Amino acid sequence: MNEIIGIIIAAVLSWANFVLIDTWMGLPEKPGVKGADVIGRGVKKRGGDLSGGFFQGNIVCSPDASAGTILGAISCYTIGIPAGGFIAALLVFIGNRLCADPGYAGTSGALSIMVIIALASFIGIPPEQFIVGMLLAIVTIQGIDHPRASRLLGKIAKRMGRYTELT
Amino acid sequence: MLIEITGIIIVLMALRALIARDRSERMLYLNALSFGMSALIALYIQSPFGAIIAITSFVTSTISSNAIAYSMGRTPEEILIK
Amino acid sequence: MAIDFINISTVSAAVSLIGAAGIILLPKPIDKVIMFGMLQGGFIGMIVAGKYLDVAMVAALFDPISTVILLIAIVKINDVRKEKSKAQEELDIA
Repeated sequence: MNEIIGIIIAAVLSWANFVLIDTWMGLPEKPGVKGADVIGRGVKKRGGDLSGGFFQGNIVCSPDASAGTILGAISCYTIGIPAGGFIAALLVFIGNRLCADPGYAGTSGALSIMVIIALASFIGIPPEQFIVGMLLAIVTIQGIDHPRASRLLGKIAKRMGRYTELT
Repeated sequence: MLIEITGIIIVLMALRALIARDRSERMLYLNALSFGMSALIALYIQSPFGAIIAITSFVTSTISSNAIAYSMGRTPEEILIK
Repeated sequence: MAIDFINISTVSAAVSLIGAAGIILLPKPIDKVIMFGMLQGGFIGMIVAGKYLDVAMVAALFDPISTVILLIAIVKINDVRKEKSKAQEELDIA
């Protein structure tokens, strides 16, 4: 398959993977650690949505499904498809414990992207395109326009019933 | 081809972090840069130990960003000595 | 032809230079620490480009620990300065 089309498809798949798993695990609801609170309120002050701001702050401050997805893709590329996903899930779990975060968002993100990469290899998308695709997905959330991205994340959180109660 | 795309994204994020105005904006660009450096290390060294280094550097940079964000909350206004 | 210049060595060098420029130019201490984190990222990239993987492992483990220790110092100094200025204000009022 053409490389550019493969990277774009991989970016869409990994965006859906980590946004849905993180929203379902409750990342937009409250800040996991105090640093996420600071970043969320900073985004709100610049015209964004508080729930999306908490989401972006939680991505920065602790390993969540976005970390699990990119580290799962890296492990599947270098180590191999079933073993790499499990190794990435184990190391992200250790990283979660180091940040005193009790959630399992990172491990579930790594395991689910391992399944997606295994299925996508039948279509002809190799794992290295998933690495660059996930990087593009993260840049659309945290690198282009923070208020607009936080509003989009807030809308998704409201649709899935995970909007925040704090102000 | 993949390393070129990753490299351009990393340099763009670094420049935006330098000229950003707000402090929490800088943290978000720094986090995107850590994702990019981790991907770049893995794409250059295509062996299992490269993956271990990418994972270690990513997790420790997340811990360091957590500490920086916590200190941002602890010192809301900074007293500089002129 | 220009696309040949983008490899891991030049990208890491560019990130390190931008981080160093940020440390020199930005006025407040916590902004300098954020740019120091960017410098650490570029530094690890340069070590990996020279294929010193065990050195890169040690650097990746210990650089952020030094950042945490530096941040503890910055928070402590700021608290001490705040106490001193508050004591100075009370002395002025009294």
